[in-house]
Amino acid sequence: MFDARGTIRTHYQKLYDQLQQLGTSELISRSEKIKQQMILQGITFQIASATQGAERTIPFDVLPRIIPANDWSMIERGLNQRVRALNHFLGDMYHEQRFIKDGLISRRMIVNNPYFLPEMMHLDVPENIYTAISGIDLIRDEQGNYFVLEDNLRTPSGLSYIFKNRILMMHYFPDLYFSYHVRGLEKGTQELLTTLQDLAPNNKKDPVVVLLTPGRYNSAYFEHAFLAQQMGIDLVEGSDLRVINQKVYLQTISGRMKPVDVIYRRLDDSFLDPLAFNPNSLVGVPGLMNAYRAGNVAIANAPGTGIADDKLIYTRVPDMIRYYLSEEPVLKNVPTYSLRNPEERSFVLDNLEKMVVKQTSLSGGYGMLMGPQADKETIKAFRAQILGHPESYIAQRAIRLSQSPTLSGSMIESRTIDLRPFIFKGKQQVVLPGGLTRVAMEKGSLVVNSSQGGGSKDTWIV
Amino acid sequence: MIGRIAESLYWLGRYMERIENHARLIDVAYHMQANHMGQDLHPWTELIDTFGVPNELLLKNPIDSESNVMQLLVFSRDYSNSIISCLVSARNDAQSVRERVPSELWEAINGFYLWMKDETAQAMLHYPHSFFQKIKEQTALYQGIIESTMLRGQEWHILESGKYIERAENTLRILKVIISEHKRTVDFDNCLALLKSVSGFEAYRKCQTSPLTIERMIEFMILNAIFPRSTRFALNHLNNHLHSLFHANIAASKTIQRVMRLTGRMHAQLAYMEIPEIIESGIISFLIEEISVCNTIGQAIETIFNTKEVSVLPF
Repeated sequence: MFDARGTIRTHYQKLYDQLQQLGTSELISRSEKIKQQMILQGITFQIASATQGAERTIPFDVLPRIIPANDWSMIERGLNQRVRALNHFLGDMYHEQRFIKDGLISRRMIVNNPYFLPEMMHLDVPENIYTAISGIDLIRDEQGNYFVLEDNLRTPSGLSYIFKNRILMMHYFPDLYFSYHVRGLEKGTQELLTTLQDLAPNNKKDPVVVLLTPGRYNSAYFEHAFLAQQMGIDLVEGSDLRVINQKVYLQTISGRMKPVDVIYRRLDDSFLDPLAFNPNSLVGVPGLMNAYRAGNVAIANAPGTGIADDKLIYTRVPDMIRYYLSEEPVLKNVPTYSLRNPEERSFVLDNLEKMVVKQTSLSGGYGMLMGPQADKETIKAFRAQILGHPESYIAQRAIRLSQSPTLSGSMIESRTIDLRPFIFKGKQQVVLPGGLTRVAMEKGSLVVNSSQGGGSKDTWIV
Repeated sequence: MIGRIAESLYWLGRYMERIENHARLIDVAYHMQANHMGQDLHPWTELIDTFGVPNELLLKNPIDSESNVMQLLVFSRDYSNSIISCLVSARNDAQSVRERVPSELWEAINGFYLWMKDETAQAMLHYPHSFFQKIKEQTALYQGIIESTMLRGQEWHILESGKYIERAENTLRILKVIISEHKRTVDFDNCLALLKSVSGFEAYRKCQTSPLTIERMIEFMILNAIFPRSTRFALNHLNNHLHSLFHANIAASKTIQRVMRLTGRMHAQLAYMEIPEIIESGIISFLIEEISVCNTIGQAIETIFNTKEVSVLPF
């Protein structure tokens, strides 16, 4: 909200003025009402470690994050460029592998990757689209530069909160909302549906799209139900689908079988099809991969996209942009060190207290070392782990992330934020205006993941 | 419609209806206590019988006091037919189909649950009437949202089917318990309580001006065509909803045909029956027979949802 000299940045002026008028107690009271509303609507999240059925709301901060249109158009270009390159990369890795042959990446980094699926080799995916829905995490440093922190190309979550946050803000802060000309989200779910329909095999008209969920106990079930409802598509579980003659059908009570053309799946690859992958999966659809290979059904995102959002591959994305698009990256990566390389490794180990170290195969804020905040014991433990398996870790210089005023108890305080915009890639490629601003609710914390107690804010492009 | 979704909708309809019926029944039983003074029967025995509480639970939960009875029938999470258990099940079902029903419907059920989960037997016994009033309001809100916002598609027909089979069976079950406890000596007070438990006293008065007798009451509660909680009314609606669901489906499976036959027959029987026939054949045996038909229909409906076992036909 404020620049380095403590003056209000122009696009925050109106918000600042209105907050002064409103007063803190009114702000707290509206914030409380929103929380009640979220509980009533069941906008909840289930934590993996908690006992089954424990529901919690994601903390919602009522102070919106505002991004000026100029910054946004740069971000939008950068995201579009990045997703195009990543999609090219995936197509290449599962076909000719030119990127490997031209020496830009070692073969080992691909084939040893736990998300690499040999089943996807030489399989032509519908419209050559691997990443129909991507969520790219961005951070902003003190100078106002945006960096890509992480790509999420498998089953990125958070979309529903973008829409819900907006509705809550419109209902509880209408004056504030309408005093800005915020770019609307109304077309968002329609664009998502169109993106999914675009994938239908053989350009089928009015294709049947379903959302495949692991079920009610999944942490993101609210999101699955919300998106299915907004798009007017069936929310299905694996056992509702059946594959016959390499075609996928929905079983209905009238005994008829309804053919399915596109599956927006919110299951991990390994659970998709017990015949092809994890044989113990009870939530998948036996025979789905056969139907997919036969070209009778589209799956979004395509299986095997995990090789492109791995934390090690991340370091190569700028090269991908240059290689496939012959363009310079618009959005930079956070400077990242590979711990496999002895020089970089010794540099990182000498400076662990200034580093963020991540285990390459984990996400959601698990398996991370936050150097600036960690105590000596933790750093020591991580040093041992890194020396044991250097290839499983990457390190990034800890960036002082941008902060945003956030209501905490009865005070407005600064909290660390990041941004997860969503990109839909069908026949057209669109970026949902704004995205999910995630906020670390603990003072001084850098971790914004909702599984670690992070909250969210509405994000306004003005 | 997918079998799993249909099943959740059906049970959502049933559970919400069951909650309403239970609340009415407990409310009336509670306020009937005065009539039991000086009788041998424990005031709560009939109620426990109507609910059909399993014996193991009765051993673990003595029903020696008002608050213990309320604890068991309203708040016990171990007893699957307590109001809170029905509500938890209804909420789970609503959650599984939340993208299929109006969001307001889910919010109403969730709001009901959020209120109810913090209530206790001790607290409710301060004002039992307003407590049950609140439950009735919550179920009325649920019915109202369905009525005014829900598309009259397959989802609606299934939800309503669940409601009406539950209602048909419930009315029969209450009658059976009251009448078998008191043999043929059901008095005016019992009849009055019974009618009140189905919110039928005022409606009865509009249809019948002659004195309240057990025959007239049974006629009203089972055979009346326009009283919305009578068995005949419920079966008529169940029949219509099933027709709308499966009518267009020429190649209906055998299970569907069977359900249609069973409900059609039971409804026709009630529509053309006269009260002396029931009295002649014995009220209790008649009620037992009809309850068992209701159970058969309920089970048959569930087999429709079990699509996993349906053999795959060419399409």
